[in-house]
Amino acid sequence: MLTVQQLRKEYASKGGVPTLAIEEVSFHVKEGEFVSIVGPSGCGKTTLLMNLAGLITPTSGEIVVNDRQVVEPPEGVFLLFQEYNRSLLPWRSVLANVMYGLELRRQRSKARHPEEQARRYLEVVGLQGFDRHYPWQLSGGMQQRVAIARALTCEPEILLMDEPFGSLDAQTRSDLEDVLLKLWDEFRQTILFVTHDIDEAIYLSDRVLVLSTRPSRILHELTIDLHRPRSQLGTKADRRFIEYRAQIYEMITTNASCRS
Amino acid sequence: MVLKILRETRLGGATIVILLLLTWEVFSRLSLVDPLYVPTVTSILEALWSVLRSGELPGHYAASLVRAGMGYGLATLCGIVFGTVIGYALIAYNLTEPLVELLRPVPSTALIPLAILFLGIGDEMKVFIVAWASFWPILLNTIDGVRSVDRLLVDTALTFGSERREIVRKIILPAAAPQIATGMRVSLALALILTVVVEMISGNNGIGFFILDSERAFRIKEMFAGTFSLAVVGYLLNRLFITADSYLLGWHRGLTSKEQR
Ligand SMILES: Nc1ncnc2c1ncn2[C@@H]1O[C@H](COP(=O)(O)OP(=O)(O)O)[C@@H](O)[C@H]1O
Ligand SMILES: [Mg+2]
Repeated sequence: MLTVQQLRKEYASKGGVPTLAIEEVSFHVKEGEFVSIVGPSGCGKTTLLMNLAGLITPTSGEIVVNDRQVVEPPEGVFLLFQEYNRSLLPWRSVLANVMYGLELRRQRSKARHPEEQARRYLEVVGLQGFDRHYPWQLSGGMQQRVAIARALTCEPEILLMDEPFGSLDAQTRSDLEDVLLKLWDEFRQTILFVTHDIDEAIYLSDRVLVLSTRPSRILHELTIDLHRPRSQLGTKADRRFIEYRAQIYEMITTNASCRS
Repeated sequence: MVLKILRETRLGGATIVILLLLTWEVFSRLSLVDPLYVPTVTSILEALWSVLRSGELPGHYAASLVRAGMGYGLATLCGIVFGTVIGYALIAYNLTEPLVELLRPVPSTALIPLAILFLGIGDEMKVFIVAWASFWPILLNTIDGVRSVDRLLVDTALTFGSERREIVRKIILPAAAPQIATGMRVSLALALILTVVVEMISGNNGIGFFILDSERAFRIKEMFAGTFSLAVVGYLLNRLFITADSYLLGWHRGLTSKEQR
């Protein structure tokens, strides 16, 4: 479904030495899998997703989605930006924002009744009744729901999510984690979820990739063997959950201390 | 109470205008100024009413508004089209920036002799001068608006598979619209000014011609009446613009006022 091979990304900087953001990263994600990537901030997580979404080109290495090499934004792949509030169109109402993708040529055929479909996904994320609001009239958590509904409306095969709940309060955050799990349970998209929160990564995923500090490499890969459906209280109290957390935590701190 | 009215309404400002007109009236009546050159406000309004009713003034305004409208429309079209291309494509920007910076500061009135030389003294010249003057604020604001569209919005569009044309139409232009509107508002005032100027230079109709011709014929009250009417027309056009603006771009005011809070 999604394969990354020896990806390396350097940012050129004016005159000075280039910034090496990603040293070498390879991994594979199967169809319908929920994979999280954890790593300290500034390690290159956003850079990795931007590469996968075809918005920037790797310095070297290869990204393959559905047997096709990524050179431009691939069909069926949707990136939810870390700064989701800036990715909503402020001149459009919530409903019109969600319909945006369906108006484009690439996705036009996906909906015979775009408005109905948009309304359905607004309901799925729990935003019914807010269709006529403007994005800037909503709270952060609601804006994120709009962004999620907008991507879902285009029936994504692969969702790339960049610290989607990073700037939300704890309550909204766990609510949205559960909304996401429910969605995934229903639609079974392939999800690549980036976060710096270890608990969140374990709680949501089938598999967790742990990144090193910049320039990033994959330190470790962990299969999460916790039964589904998961629950905020039950799952997080599970003995294995606590073990996973300790393992990842140790890896990250050892990595950080040998670098410094 | 009074303070509240002063703070929340423009009644105070309107009162100042009325007081000024009253002073004018009194000075003229008492012949503190020569009533021949500065007629009383009431007699100017009377003259205004009679040229309005006779159809003289409306006829001149019709001619002026056609000129101003054509010039302004042309400027808006060209300003937005060129501005979008220049703002969007770096090559176009680098190719045109020096030229734009050279032409922009030239006062449009300085081009009138040149325009007469090539276009004659008819409406072509007049529309050209009006269009030229109104073009620059729209062009510059469009360029700036397009260039400052949030990169993230464009990236969002790209991940949704937007084609270039779809990006321009659905992202760039709406995002730049508030600033384009700012340019259009500045240009609206310029279009009116330049229309009056070119009409004073040649021809035999238009509000500019009417004012100058009244002065030459020593119809001083009518001359003042023409000027008064321009104040009102200018005010109304601006109001109309603001209304349309807040109707179409209300989202922008909502967004920015929220950010300021
Ligand atoms: N456009 C860019 N140009 C130059 N350097 C960049 C750019 N984007 C990110 N970087 C650098 O690359 C590194 C990784 O950034 P990023 O991928 O945003 O990290 P993360 O998302 O994990 O916090 C950082 O050191 C950052 O300064
Ligand atoms: Mg990031």
